[in-house]
Amino acid sequence: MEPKDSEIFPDHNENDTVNSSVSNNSTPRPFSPSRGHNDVSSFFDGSVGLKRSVSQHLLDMFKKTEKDQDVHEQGTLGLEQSPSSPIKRDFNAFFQDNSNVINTNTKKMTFENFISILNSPGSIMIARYIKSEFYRRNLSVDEQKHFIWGKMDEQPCWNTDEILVDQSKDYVEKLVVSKIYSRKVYIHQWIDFKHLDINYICDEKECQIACQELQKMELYHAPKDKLTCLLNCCKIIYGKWISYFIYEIIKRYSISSGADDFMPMLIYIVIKGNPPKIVSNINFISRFRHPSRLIEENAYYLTTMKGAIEFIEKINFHSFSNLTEDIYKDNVSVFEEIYHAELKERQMHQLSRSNSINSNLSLKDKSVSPKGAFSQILEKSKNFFSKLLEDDDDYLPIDETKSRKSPEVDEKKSVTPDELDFELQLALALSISENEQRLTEGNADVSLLDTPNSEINYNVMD
Amino acid sequence: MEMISSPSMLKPIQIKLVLLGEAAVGKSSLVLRFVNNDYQENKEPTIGAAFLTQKCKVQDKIIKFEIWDTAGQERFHSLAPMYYRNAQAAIVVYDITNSDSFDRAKSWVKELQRQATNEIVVALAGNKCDLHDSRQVESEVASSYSSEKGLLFLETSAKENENVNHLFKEIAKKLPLESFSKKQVEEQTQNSINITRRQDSSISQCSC
Repeated sequence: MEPKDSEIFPDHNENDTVNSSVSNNSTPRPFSPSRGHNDVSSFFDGSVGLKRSVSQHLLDMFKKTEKDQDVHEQGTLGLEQSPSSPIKRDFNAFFQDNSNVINTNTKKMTFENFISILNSPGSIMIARYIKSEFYRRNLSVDEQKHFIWGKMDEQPCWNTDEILVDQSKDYVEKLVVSKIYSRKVYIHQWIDFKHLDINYICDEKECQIACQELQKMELYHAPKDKLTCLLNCCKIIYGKWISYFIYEIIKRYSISSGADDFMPMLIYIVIKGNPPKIVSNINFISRFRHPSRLIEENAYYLTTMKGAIEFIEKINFHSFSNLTEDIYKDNVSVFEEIYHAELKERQMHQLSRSNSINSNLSLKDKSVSPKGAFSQILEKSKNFFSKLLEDDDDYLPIDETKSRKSPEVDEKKSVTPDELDFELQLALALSISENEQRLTEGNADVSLLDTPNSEINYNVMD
Repeated sequence: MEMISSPSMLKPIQIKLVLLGEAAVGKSSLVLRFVNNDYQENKEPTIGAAFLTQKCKVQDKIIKFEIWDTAGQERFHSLAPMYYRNAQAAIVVYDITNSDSFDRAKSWVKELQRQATNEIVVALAGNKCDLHDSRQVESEVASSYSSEKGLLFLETSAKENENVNHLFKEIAKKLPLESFSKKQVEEQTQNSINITRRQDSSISQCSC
């Protein structure tokens, strides 16, 4: 069960350099406002997150620890720490010394605290387990969770205060569940059909429409509706093929139009479109759609989608063809930079998040925009909702969300009444003629299943 | 084997059949030939050729093949278990004009016999048998391999419609239909939400 110490895990030195660079910061500051998912993702990137989320107190504490003993050794031999290790003492001291930050009476562990502690040298083993679990796909999330919880009980650094450890465990769950794969998707935005051996001619617009269906998944609450979105996407992929395909069948029987072509196409669409929270949505469908309805086609295409996601989670140079390693590395590093730049930009401009969803969609061809004023209205309201949904930090209890002064929460507040009113009207327009929109987008030849619009109304009323 | 073209009184027995084999050996062509051979009017609408169904009548029973196609490229190899999980039948397809695809088929057979459900019926199909001139895999070699491993073996041609129906018929004959129909009746009678029942399937794995 020992996870391999490989490229998955950031170098210890990397953590150290980040630590020291932050500790030079002279002004002690309280915990920085949460950046929600970004916080988590940067934790996995292993570089940026620390700067924002670690308090000065915590850093001082680790400096002290460093004097006491060799941190590197402590980290790698984490399991052998004695219960009275300095790290454990500091963990307790941390919560006592910072009563202004943490109310010791109620003993509240915030997600930022948790991430800070997780990034500390003493937690290297736990951090490594959490990260490695992401790659151990044959374990269910429940199994992963219990495995890590078990490890936490063994670890003296976490084994301090029952209440705090209990709360920390909730955050472990949160980390494991919110698999951060969006970065992976993002840094492969440059891929082309040939890299996945997609042979047939397929136009960008087709892909965009298919992807829009996947993105719509976020707008619906019921598993059936989410599933319908997935099936619609698959239909569009096939819709393109129908004429091509029948012709070929009549002519010659040797072409393949089954999963050999479908799977790479679906992967291509997921990468290019980067639909928000696709992993959670797919898991949601598997969990909550009644098993008696998850049969035949539904089961097949859901499985295929899961396969596509699994493929993307493990994606690397060897996943592609028609590509040299150098080109691969160059492309990835370019997009990695763009990704980080975008992350920063999102923090700077609060409202840019919704736009970036849109821009992901039309990365290649900006000219393919919905026609007419109505389409623009529709687009705007869609963004509004996806923004609302994306910002909704539903893993946290309500009181906790309130107590955190996160940019996301501010963002919601910053929507002026006028704007909101405007958006509401747009949303109503959206719910009335979603189907008309389909026609204007020119895919009337593809017969789509109806996705009910009632959910959208519900959102508005809420 | 008689194809059922009208909705029957009998509830069909659902058989999940998975198609494995290297890309471009003609997996989907084989199935398309089987499914589209006789045109049915009441055909259920399908999204695409990756998943198809076909009803057949075997020994007074109606069985409905749910045919799950898989992507054959090596890079998708690790995803296959998601597909053959809970499958009652599998067709491993290779191309007789491509010996590599036969090697690949052998590794699929090995994997299935090791990892799939015990009672799975595995058939080996040497497709494109109309292309005699460029044959690379001798029929005898594949045949003796199949008998050694306890597989059904047929050489087929989706193009010439040779042995395609026969292949599915043989699979249907070999399936323990009695136990399947019993099982499905039982499942229908306990028509309640039983979360533990499907524990081994990927679909019910809780990921929340």
